[in-house]
Amino acid sequence: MKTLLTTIALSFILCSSVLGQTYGYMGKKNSVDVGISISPNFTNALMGYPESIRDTTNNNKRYSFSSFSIKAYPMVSLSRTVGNNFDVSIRAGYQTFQLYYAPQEFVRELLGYNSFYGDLVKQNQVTTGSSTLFELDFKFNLKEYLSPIGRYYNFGLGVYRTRVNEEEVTVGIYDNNNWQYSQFIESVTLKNETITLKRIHFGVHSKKIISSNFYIDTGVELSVIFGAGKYTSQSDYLTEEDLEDTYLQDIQKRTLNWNNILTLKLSVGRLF
Amino acid sequence: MSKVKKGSTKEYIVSKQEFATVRKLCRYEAIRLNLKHREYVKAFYNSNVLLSENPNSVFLEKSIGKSLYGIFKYKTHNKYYSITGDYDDYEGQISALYYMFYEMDAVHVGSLAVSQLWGQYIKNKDENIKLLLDDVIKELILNENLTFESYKTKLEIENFKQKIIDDSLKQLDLAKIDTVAISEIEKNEDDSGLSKYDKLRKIKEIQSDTETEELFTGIDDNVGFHLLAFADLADNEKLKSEFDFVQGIINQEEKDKETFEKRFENLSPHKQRKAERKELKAEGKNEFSLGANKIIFVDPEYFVVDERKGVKLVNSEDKKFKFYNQIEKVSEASGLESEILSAKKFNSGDAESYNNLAAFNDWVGERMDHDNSSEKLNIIPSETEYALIASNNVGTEYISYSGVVIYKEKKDNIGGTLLYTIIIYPLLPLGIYYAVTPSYYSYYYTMVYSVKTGKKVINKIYEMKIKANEGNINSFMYQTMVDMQKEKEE
Repeated sequence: MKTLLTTIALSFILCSSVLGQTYGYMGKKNSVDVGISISPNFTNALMGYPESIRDTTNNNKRYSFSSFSIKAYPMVSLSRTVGNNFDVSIRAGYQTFQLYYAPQEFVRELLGYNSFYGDLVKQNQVTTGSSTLFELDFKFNLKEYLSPIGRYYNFGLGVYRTRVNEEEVTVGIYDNNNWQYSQFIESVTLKNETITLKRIHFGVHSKKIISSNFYIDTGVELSVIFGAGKYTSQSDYLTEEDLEDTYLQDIQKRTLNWNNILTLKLSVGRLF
Repeated sequence: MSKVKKGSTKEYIVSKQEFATVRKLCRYEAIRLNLKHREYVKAFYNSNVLLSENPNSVFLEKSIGKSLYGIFKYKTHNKYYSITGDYDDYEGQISALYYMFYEMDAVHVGSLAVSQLWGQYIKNKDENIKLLLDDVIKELILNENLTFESYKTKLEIENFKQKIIDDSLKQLDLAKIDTVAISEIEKNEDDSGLSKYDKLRKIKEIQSDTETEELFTGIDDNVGFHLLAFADLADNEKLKSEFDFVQGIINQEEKDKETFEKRFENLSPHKQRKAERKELKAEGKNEFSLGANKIIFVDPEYFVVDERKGVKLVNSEDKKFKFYNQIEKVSEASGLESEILSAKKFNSGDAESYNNLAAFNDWVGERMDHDNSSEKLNIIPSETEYALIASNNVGTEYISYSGVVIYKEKKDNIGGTLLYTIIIYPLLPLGIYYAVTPSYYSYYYTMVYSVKTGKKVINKIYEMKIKANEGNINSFMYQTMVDMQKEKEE
């Protein structure tokens, strides 16, 4: 993590100082902006889990595990114009998310045959997480504009420091074959472990001057998150080791990935 | 005027003297306009006519020099026809002059121009005349392969003088033959009923009979007629040094060109330009580097053109003033001193600014007319001396014609887009947006001229496929202004 952050910071400093035969906007080469990133927020949709489960004790009652909302999170960015059509910036953001971590099989069957454990699962299967983002961003203005004003394309890479809030998680493991609980982990404590994910993004933006020093930047970005190991076990059993190791990281990555796949950006900045 | 009834009607509303002064001013102004509109033969003719009344007029003498300069430049670049058309389109006494210049070649006119301009330069020490003189000498050397030594061939001059005398004598003989022919025709009773034209035809036949054609056989069209212009200057050491000075400039230019070509040897023209730009970039310069510290914006323009309403200029007056403010703001930020000359900004006390504006506009107007004829012509406009005065007044040789044009037009294929988005209905809002909004194109242009050299030193158009806002225009303007201040390439 330290290495990655150092690389981002050094790249920014290096680009800013090595390149620099440009004037910026009216002589102002630097800018700082604060804004919000708006992105869809999925709890468990698009993750392969059922959207709702029917309560076997009450046929009319369904437990909904799927949720979708629009979330906005803050971002700050520091940019420097280093070419007539080229800016480099570093940016940081903070994002919260909801995490659905219970395995599909467990939820479906447990609710069908053991309402007691089903209730437990319902209460605990969703938890929250948060992540801090640090990114290095390269901005290329279209030929007909002079940096930093106008329409530009950007791409960059960054790191997510992601952690899930500590909670006691109850997970039951169900064996499909014999309708019996072959293993049962009654109570597993989700460890408050921070993991590092990597992200690459591409976007198109438009930066418009609103007064001599201020500007509005609007844009849309697509991103892909990678870096964590993928949970690949074909077993019907989820062991404690699985839960603490790749399984949890995998679902964090997938949650963040879907949550950030499309982001609308809106920020206000000042040139200096 | 003697026929004008006197009585209650005044012959002169103002005094006779005042009328004469204004008339004289108008006549002189007409010559200036002739030169500006590239009517060099008219200017030459009118100047000579007025010179008979005002033999000491420096203006008229200069106008003659400028006329010859203009005619020579167009002759040497084979563009003379573009400024006169057919010589037989003109009537009256001036038609003879049109014919004369039509017949004269570039060497003849150039030599006359050198002689005329040199005389004026020696007399008045006018730097503007020197610019014209040096340009004529340069073109004579480069295009006509003439040097001062060519003029110095005394023997040739003497021979030519003799030839002219001989030819004149032959012409006299011819005239005698004509007289004899006419009297013969008149004596002949059969020819008494002939029309004027038939008589002329008859004379021609008689001339042919008396083998008059032989009289002209000795005259060579390429004879050194032009040398006569230099009969008194062939030993002039000062003129020789002027030729040497110009030759020095030519040599230096050729040397620079050679060095340039050597430097980029074996490179295609495209790669040469690329390499040159790279070198300039390495030095922190580019093609806009002028070393200017002040610039004059002449009548900056802001146009909004709406093609949907039949190419109409709309609501751009306010924006023009905003644009003026933008220029001032950007100029301040860039550190380049600037001044806007526009009738819209002038007050009652700005008479001098108004004159400066007129001088620059006339100069650029003439400059542009020349541009339309040929880019290679590179002629020094006749208005240069007035523009130079204006340029001294404003404290810079660089004048800029800049502006913004926002072009609005209907989008293409609106119906098709709507149809597609109706079929793929989630996209319908985008389709509606596409249909109701026009397409925009914005241009920021800047042309900078050096009044001193007569050259267009910057010609840049920035094009954006959007409705440009203040920020975009400021960006371009700022960049151009900063570049202008950088020392130009040596």
